[in-house]
Amino acid sequence: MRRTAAELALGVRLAFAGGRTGWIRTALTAAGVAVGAVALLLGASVPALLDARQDRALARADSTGAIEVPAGDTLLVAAVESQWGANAVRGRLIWPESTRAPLPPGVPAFPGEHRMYASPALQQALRGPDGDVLRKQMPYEVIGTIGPEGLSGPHEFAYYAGYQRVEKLVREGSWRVDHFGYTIPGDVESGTGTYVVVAAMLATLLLPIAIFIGAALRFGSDTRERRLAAIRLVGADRRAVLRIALGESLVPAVLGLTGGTALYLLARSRAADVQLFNVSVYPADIRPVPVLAVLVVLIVLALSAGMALLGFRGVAVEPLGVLRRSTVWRGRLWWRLLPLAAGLALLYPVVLPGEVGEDRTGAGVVLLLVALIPLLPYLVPVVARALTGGPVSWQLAAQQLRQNPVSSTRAVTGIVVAVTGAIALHTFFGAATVRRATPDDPADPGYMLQTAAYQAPAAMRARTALFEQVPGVRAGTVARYPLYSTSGTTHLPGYLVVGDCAALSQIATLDRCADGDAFTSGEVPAAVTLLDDSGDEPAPGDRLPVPRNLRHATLIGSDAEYASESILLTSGAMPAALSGVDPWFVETRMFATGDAPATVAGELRGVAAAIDPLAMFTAFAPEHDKYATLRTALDIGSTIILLMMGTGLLLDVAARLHDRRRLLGVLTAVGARRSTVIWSVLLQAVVPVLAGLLLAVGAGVALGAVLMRMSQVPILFDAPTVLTPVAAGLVLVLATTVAVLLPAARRVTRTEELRYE
Amino acid sequence: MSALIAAEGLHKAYGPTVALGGADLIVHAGEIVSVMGPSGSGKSTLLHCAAGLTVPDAGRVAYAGRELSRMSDVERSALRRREFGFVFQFGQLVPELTALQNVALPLRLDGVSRRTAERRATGWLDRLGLADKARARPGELSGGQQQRVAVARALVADPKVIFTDEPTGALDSIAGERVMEMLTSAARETGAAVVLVTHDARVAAYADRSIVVRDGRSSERAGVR
Ligand SMILES: Nc1ncnc2c1ncn2[C@@H]1O[C@H](COP(=O)(O)OP(=O)(O)O)[C@@H](O)[C@H]1O
Ligand SMILES: [Mg+2]
Repeated sequence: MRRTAAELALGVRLAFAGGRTGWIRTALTAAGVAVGAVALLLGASVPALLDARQDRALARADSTGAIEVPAGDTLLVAAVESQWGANAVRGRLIWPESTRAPLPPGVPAFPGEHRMYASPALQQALRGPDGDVLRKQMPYEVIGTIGPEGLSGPHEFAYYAGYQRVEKLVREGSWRVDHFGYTIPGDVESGTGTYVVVAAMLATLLLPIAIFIGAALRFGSDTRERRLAAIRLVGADRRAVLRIALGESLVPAVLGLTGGTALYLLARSRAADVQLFNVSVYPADIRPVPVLAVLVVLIVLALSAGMALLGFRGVAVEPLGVLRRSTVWRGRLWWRLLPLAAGLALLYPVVLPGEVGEDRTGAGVVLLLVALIPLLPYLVPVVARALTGGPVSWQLAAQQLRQNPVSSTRAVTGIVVAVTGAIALHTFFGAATVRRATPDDPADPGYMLQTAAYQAPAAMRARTALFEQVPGVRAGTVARYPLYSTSGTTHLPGYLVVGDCAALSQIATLDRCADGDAFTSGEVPAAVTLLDDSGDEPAPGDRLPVPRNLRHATLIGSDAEYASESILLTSGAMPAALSGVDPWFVETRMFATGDAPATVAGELRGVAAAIDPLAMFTAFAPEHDKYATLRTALDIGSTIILLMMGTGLLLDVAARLHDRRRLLGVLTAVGARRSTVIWSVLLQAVVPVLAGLLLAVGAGVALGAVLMRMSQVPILFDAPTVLTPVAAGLVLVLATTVAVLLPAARRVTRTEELRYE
Repeated sequence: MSALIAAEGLHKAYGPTVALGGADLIVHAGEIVSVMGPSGSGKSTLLHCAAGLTVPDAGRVAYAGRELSRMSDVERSALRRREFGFVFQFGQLVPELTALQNVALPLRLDGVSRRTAERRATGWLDRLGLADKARARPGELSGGQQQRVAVARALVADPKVIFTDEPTGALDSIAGERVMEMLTSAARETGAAVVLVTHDARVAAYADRSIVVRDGRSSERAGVR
């Protein structure tokens, strides 16, 4: 016991007193451990975070589902879900029916008519630039702030406004609640899927970290091993040497763990500044699950200890010196294909039509990423063997690559995985954004307001004019009445659409149009029957005569897709019988041209809110790049990994050069030119990278396609998105390799250390 | 009196180079035996085999009647901690540790408490005239001082045999003599045997008995003392 303690303590002391090389190694290893610790701690905080979000969501849940709450000590609620830039806006118009009505969480009292409690983020935005545009959406006086217990996160845009009109809208937009915190069965997200994804991401992240730690630990390992040999001479046995090395690895592990925890706390304190996908979190909600936190500490310690012990593979530290067993590499292909096969099996449903399960696909994607790692050492000698002949430097490099592919590819694997992941995600985000940048059909509007009450033609024109006051916006308002199909199919044949010529020409191509004209896109019936409110019975007595002089019109956009036989009437051709009849929708369709201001969506929402805050406003055009933050995160993440791998590669090349300096010395001694030797080392470093990047392009594109397919996004790639990570990886590798290699190679080949000690 | 170390018929080749071609070495308790011979004759290899640091291709080495080749690494390591001491030409001190820690190292590796180990180490450092250098690291010491630290370390665990290989090879003659004086007097006092590999006749003069190695073969040299 005391012996073990003394050995560990000796290791710790050696780690602290290793001179410059020792400090570099300790610092690099600690940095790797710290990154790992931060990642793991954040991962360990996910469950608590999800729970906290779940609790917050539940505490304020006001959706009663199918249940209708009878009037009493109840609160009337109407939901206004809107959008401001990248932020979803959660609005509630409320009016209490009793003084004992339930108060929403975070709200101290019921706001009076047209007054509101607003979240801090919303208040800030209202004060900020374009705040007057935003204010049109919620033209209420701010009288207080919603407390954290009523918000999902510090960045949430939310308000509760007093709005007495909801009394008149029960069942037509408003409903009663007798408390907050309704649970709707099946609405509670399980979170297991999230755990799986988080675990998979951590596993992928831990791999480059482990590789990095391994490379850092190998740095200056030969002096270290000689020192261990000296300790062996005075009586340490083989296991004692391992324990000393363990003690040595403890120092960077503890340093890294401390640094990682500090970074984690820093990240946590800044958490309130970050938001992703409209999710922002309170720092207090980020806390590692205790069991997991302990596990993190153990994993981190095990990781650095494991990498330290792994460094002794093939190395025998004997009392008289260090022996390296040069094992012949026997690369077998079959087990290297196992993860690939498993990944492909999981991903197989992707090529079949229909929906694909996200969990299964996610696991498949991760497996495919991991599958790259064992494949690379196999691929590199194949490449080396294929390219026989050539200059001496290449032959030397190729020989090394064939004999020792694992050590040649170690650092490269991380780069390949990082580049693959970056390609896959970037191409996926790119494609997903492209899809959202345009409505499904260019003929379709970017925004639409739908109300249900009858509007006279003049009122519809007035509504159009309101929206067209926003610069760069064209609009058109039509009323839609669905037609009943006499052929007995449940399929909706089309609509009876009423609007002015400008509005109608946004729905169909008309040869010419004047008020009083009427059009059809299908057969010419004598009369039509409208559907009743329920949507499947003919409305009694609503058989309408159709004007005789119908001209043909061709529907465009989604009308062409869904309503094949519609009748379009200008207001002058509208049958008198329709006057005062509520349509399904009075629909204002808005098209933003290039002249529209950046805040066009906000302006249109403001106009819509002035017409009716509870009217349905839909945005088809994107109001923001929803992946922007994620892209940034991805760039930061892959840059960190690439830098870590670059440093790892640098250390690796330096170590390899050191290992082989005798060979290099011999080569120069027998007359090989120095440039030949340098070239061979350079090639040996660069060839695996090239092979790896080639693999990464293939795998990245494949994974990107899988993700696009999974999200029902059209599969498309553009060269810059694919090649940027590749170029980044290549430049990094070349820069680091050349930076370390040229000076080192020159030094090494000059001093011919041919004598053994 | 039975031999403490009995190495017989040792053969060792490194590739085509024959380092030992049938060498013997007998060491009795408490005696100082020098092993002499020209450079490259196999002296070091003989010492390494006798101390169990190198496994001979043929022949056997017994320590106190037990054959070294039959022992495990753990047992041989324990021997090095408790029964053997080593003083080589250079490079055997751990550069990161202070002189005191270096001397205490074999005891610490053997599970002796730090206080006891350092007390005994301090005693030896005093004895070798290094009391004021206890906190110095090897890099801060002169060559002679480093060798005396190595001698202190070789003696600290009260070994039965001290193996030395050119202990003064890197020292000037005054410093070398001082190291030899201290080493041999301390060994005689504690009753430790010394195997003294050297090509220097002046160093060999400290021995009771001398063996000559030539081309990997050993022979007893008569007439010393
Ligand atoms: N580890 C080794 N590898 C190869 N040859 C060795 C090794 N150790 C010793 N030799 C060779 O064995 C012979 C004897 O060496 P050594 O025992 O060191 O002689 P000495 O100590 O008498 O100078 C020399 O020719 C030397 O080159
Ligand atoms: Mg020698």
